[in-house]
Amino acid sequence: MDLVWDQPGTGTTALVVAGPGLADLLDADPLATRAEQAGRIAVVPAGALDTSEAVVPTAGVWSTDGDGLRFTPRFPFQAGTTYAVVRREDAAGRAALGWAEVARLVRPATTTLPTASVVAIHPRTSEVPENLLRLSVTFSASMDEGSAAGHVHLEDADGRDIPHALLAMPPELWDRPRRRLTLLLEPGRIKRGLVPNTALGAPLSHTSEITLVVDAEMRDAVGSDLVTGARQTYRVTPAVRERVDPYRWQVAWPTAGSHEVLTVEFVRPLDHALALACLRVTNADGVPLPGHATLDPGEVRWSFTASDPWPVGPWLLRVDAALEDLAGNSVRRVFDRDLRLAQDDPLLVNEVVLGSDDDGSPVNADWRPVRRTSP
Amino acid sequence: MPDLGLKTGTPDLQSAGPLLFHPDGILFAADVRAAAVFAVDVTDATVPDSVGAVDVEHLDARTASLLGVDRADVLVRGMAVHPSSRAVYLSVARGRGAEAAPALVRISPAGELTLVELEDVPFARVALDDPPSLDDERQDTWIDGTAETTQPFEYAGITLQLGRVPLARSTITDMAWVDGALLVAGTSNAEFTSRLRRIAFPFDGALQASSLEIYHVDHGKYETASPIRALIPFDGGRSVLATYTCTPVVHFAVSDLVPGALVRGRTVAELGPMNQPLGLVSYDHDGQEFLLVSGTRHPLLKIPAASVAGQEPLTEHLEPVGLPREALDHSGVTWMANLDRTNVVVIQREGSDTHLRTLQAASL
Repeated sequence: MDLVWDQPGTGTTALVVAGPGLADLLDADPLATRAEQAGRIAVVPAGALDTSEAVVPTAGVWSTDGDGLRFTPRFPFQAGTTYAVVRREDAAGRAALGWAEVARLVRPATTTLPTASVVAIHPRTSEVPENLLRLSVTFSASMDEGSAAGHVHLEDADGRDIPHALLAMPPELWDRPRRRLTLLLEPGRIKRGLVPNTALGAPLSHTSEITLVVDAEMRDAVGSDLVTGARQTYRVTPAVRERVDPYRWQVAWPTAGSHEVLTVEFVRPLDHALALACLRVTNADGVPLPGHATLDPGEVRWSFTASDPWPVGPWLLRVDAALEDLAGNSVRRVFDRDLRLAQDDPLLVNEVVLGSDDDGSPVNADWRPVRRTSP
Repeated sequence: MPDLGLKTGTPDLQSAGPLLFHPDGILFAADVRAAAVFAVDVTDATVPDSVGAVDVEHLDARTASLLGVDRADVLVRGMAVHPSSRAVYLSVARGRGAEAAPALVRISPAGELTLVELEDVPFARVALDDPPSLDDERQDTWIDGTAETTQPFEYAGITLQLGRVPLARSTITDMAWVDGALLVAGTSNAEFTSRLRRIAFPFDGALQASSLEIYHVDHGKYETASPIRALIPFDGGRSVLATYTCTPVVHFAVSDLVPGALVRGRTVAELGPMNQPLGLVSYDHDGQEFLLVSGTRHPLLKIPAASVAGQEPLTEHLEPVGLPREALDHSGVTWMANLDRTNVVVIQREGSDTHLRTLQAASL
């Protein structure tokens, strides 16, 4: 008797039972169709047979396939699992005597050629502060959650692994499509005075340069390695411990009616994903202006291109106070706050709003509500 | 049956989560990944002549066989008993980890397993409006060994199966039908993470949510982060009892669940540290109501329900421990659900096997 996997163009892979032994397997009742006779046989995962005297047939549908029988499971067969075909031992019309295995077949583990690769490592800067909080790696395809463990590391200037620099991986911080992996540097070593900080020092305090290394052995969602690994080297600069201050940004507002681009120059590089998520352009009523935003490499220049010619204002640039720089300092608070410094006190706002002034420069409002003026 | 707002279609259940039956036999199935609850009419009209014990030996192997996977790829995520047919419904994760696909399995009173098909069934869906985002950097800790990140962790001579998961994996931890509404416990995107939502049924878009604060005796402090693990109605629906990891039992008056408020519960018992509660049920014996609490490490505990009313709130570190409790000699009990008021159906672990068993009140 032959057992073969049958992968249709679309849909679920089926198991086809055929060959000379099939007729013996089924009752030779000429009036019964093959599908009716299929009630006498069942497919089960072989592992379930080993552990249970009772057979619960795997849910699915039998149909005829030429001279054979086709079993299409309700849920897809699992790669790497062995399946058994079993026959009900009541051929003589007696009460069910249980089931006997007649054949088994392994569903092969998935093996495919590598196709996925690293498409970006953020931040896209040449320097990072010594108190860098996070890095992220973006892949070209969905990845396997859990695959980063042991395959993403930080090296120092001499190419040596920096132990315990990255926060222990589980759970890995993947975005919804599992294409972007966020890596946190151990916060307990960054915050001054905490035990890991005093015992081990800040993770980047002993090196002038770091390299993020992504091994080619990371697996994508179908279990394949990457086409190639990736590396990104940064020079380490002094720690940054101050809030992100939108009032110090250089904002160039477009002229009404033009196709000019709204550009914002930050004071220092900001977190890429948060910068794209936390800045919005709206009219005075809060209605977003259609368009799209980008962040230049270097993570200091944000640009917004309106879908239509720039309309007559006034317009507002709304900054969510959750926006952070590379060291985790946000508009609201300093990540590693020195309680003695009044300028480090948290700013209790959800949003900072910048308006456009007559000459196109941002309105400085020393934390007062913003003036809303037309361009 | 009144109009329950159900429409025929195919519920797009993305993940297996807690289950609960509405008194009219509508199945509430929580979809943790989608942060939603489905109400499905499972049209299970059979009514048995009497309620007898339901038992299934090798439940895990039989469930795996039905779903066509290895035993290790089957994980029960919820259990509920149909109020009229007395069939046991299991919510099962098929496959591993966060990506496991859901399946619903029905176990008849005779112990036969069948798949609950969800094509062209009357259903409705409600989405939570406050779930943690999938990349929320906060985490929840599971010590039931079901997180794929589980590692042995030794503390004070005890080895725990400790796994950390993104907070979104605990968006929905349990549900209860209380005072004509669906209560959904779990975590939220808010600063005070522990959340109890009250959802009107039929689903009409009305969601109310309260953040919860409890005194955690073992930790010696008030906490707002740790979510409820198991929840039941109490005192005729005027209150709920909830239990948490490490292991406080807390009483909340339903009238205190003011939308948007931070609600402080009354901690009535501390059942002991380094334990994650798995099940909480109430049953009757000899005219008295009792509570059962199952957990990852502690034995099955029995508590007289009458002791809850007079229990002063626990607000001191470690001592006292509140309600009287008795450790029962039923080891390995994990999930529990009422077959009726005097029979509790449980999933019992025995070595590497699990079995479905019925515990009668007289044996408890």
